[in-house]
This record gives sequence, C-alpha cells and structure tokens, in this order.
Amino acid sequence: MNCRGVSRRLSAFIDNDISPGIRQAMDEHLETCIGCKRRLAEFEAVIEAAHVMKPLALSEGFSQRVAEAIRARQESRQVTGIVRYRFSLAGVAFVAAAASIFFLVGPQSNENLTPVFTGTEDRPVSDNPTVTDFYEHPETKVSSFPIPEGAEAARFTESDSLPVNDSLSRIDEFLLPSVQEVRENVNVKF
Amino acid sequence: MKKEKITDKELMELIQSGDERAFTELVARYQDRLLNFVGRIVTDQETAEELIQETFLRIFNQKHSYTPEFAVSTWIYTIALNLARSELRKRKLRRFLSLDFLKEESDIEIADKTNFTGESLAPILHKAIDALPEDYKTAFVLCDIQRLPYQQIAEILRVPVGTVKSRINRARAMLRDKLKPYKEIYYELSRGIPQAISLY
Repeated sequence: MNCRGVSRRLSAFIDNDISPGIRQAMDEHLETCIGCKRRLAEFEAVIEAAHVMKPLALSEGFSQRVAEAIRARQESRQVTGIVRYRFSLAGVAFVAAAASIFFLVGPQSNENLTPVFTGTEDRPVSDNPTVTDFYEHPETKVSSFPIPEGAEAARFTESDSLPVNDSLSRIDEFLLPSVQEVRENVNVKF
Repeated sequence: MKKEKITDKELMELIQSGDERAFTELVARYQDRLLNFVGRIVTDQETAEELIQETFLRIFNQKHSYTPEFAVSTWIYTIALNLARSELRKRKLRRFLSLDFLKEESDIEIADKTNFTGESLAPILHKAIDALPEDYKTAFVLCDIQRLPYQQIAEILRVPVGTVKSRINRARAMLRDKLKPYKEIYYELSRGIPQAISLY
C-alpha cells in the first residue's frame, strides 16, 4: 500500500473499522514510512484532544427550569383550549340567535302581510289583499312600457292568474291623476 | 424507580403513559449529553441551554410520536440537532444582515509556546472545531466527543454510514491542518499525557 492509500484510511484505522487484510497492509507501510507515521500521530492527537476536552456544565437549576417550562406550556395550552371552546360556543350561540331572528322576523307570509301601500280614495286596499288585487292596484301594478310597433302585446288569460297586459289602459290606470293631467297637456301640445 | 435497571425504551413507555417521574429521569439522563452536543454546535452556553430546554419540551409534548424502531437517544439527538440547525440558520441570516461576515476572524495566539500546558490547547481546539463546516462539525462532535457509533450517527444525521465516515475523516484532517502550528502539543498528547483540557 502507498502513502495515498494509507492517508485515506487513517481515520478508519484509528476507529478499527477496516478489514484485517487492509490493516496488515497499513501496519507494514507504517513501519517504514515516517511521514505516514507522523500523520497517524497527528490524527490520534486530534481525537485524543477531543476526548479529553472538559465537558460543559449546566447552569444551576436547569432541571427546575425545564419542569417550570413544561408546566407553563401545559397551562397556556389549557387556556388556549378554554378560549377556543368559548369562542366556538359563542359562535354557535350567534348562529342560533341569527337563525331565530330570521325565522321570527324574516320573510313575510301572506297571513301576516302588512300593506306597504295605503291605496287611493277610489281604490282602497282590502284587508286581505290577494295576488290579483296586488297586480290590479294602481300603486302596485307592474309598470307597462309602450309595446313596440309590430309586436304583439302579451295576453294572459285569467286561468294563468296574470292580469291582461294592455299597456295603454294600464298606463292610464297606473298614472296618478296629477300625472294624467300632465299627459293630457302633453297630448294637447303635441 | 431503579435507575440502573430501567432502559431508555422502558422509560419512554412510562412517559407515554403519563409518568412524570419517568420524564424527570429522562431529563437527568440526557441533559449533560445534550449540552455537550448542542453546546459544541452553537458554541454559546446560554443558547445551548435554551435549545436543550426546548428539546425536552418537544419530547414531552410529542412523546406519543416516538416509535421503538429507533433508539430513544437517536430520537432525542435528532430533535436537538434540528433545533441547533435552526439556530445556526438564524445566526447566519442575522450575521449577513448585520454585515458581520465581512469581518475577518483572527487566530488565537498561544502566549507562551515554550511553556506549554495542555490547557492552552483548549481554546485553539474549540475554535478549530467551531470553524469546521456544519456537516463535518456535527459528525465529529457526535463521533469523537459524544462517542456514538457510526450507525447511530447515520440515523441521527439521516445519511448513509459511508457518508458519516467520510465526514469524520475530513473533519479530523481539517482539524489536524488547523492545529499543525502547535504540533509539539501533538507529541505531548500522543505520548498519553492525560491532562483534562479546560475550555473556560
């Protein structure tokens, strides 16, 4: 074995981590080579120096600090757990309250319908308005726009539960008297 | 509890079942070893103690994640090493941001080379180990200071055994080169003078 082969294996030689055959070859080389022998001694000295380094010592009370840190961490986890639990409870309560309010005050049913219009003198709102009344009343009728020339007006029969869509008549019914007067004036002018 | 009879794995089983005394025993068994491991990696005692404290906290909180396929010591060293590496990464970033990396470090001089004592080698060796690349330093500390077998070092570092041997060999060679100016010390030590080298 040459010097290069020995140098590469010095660490394993010291740790006794080589095969018997290689160990023998290295022993034979080291008997005659001063350079490799010196390198081996340097390696051994480094390892020995590391072995005899004075061990570091913990500061006083280290074990107690570890125990306190664990207790503190456990307590903070408990607090976090309680806070999360309370937040989740609050969340559930909020959702339940919102749902209750929604169902109590929510969309108006026909039975509890509060008229949002007061009607006119000649067309008062009945106490129990129906769908037809809603569409027929001048304040709540769907506004009709003039039907384009050539297009047929939509006609709905009573069986469809929709009012007849006669735009001209519906405009007159829809407009308030004061506006009708304006319309007449417009017609007069034009 | 009969300390001399209970193994680390039996201790972990007790800890997993909620035995706090068993955990106290585990802390007592490993705190010094971990200090001499983490302390050599981060080279600062106060930081090392904080990291070891965090190591034990994590062991306690994650006790159920330990599986018997690995030795308890391997698991503990792995946690400690991960924390030490995180600390070194933070330091590198802080050092980079503060431009400290531009400062050159000076070598420690031995005041009196003619009147050598084993104690004067300590700061040089300490500094030389600290100057090693992180991978080589970790392998060297685990092998030559912690005296762990190659196989266990490989499990802790999660590299093949061959890589461990290679890193140890390179680390020793680099330390030898670093300490060459003090070679008369080698001959003193290699003649077996058993002086304990004090670091502080």
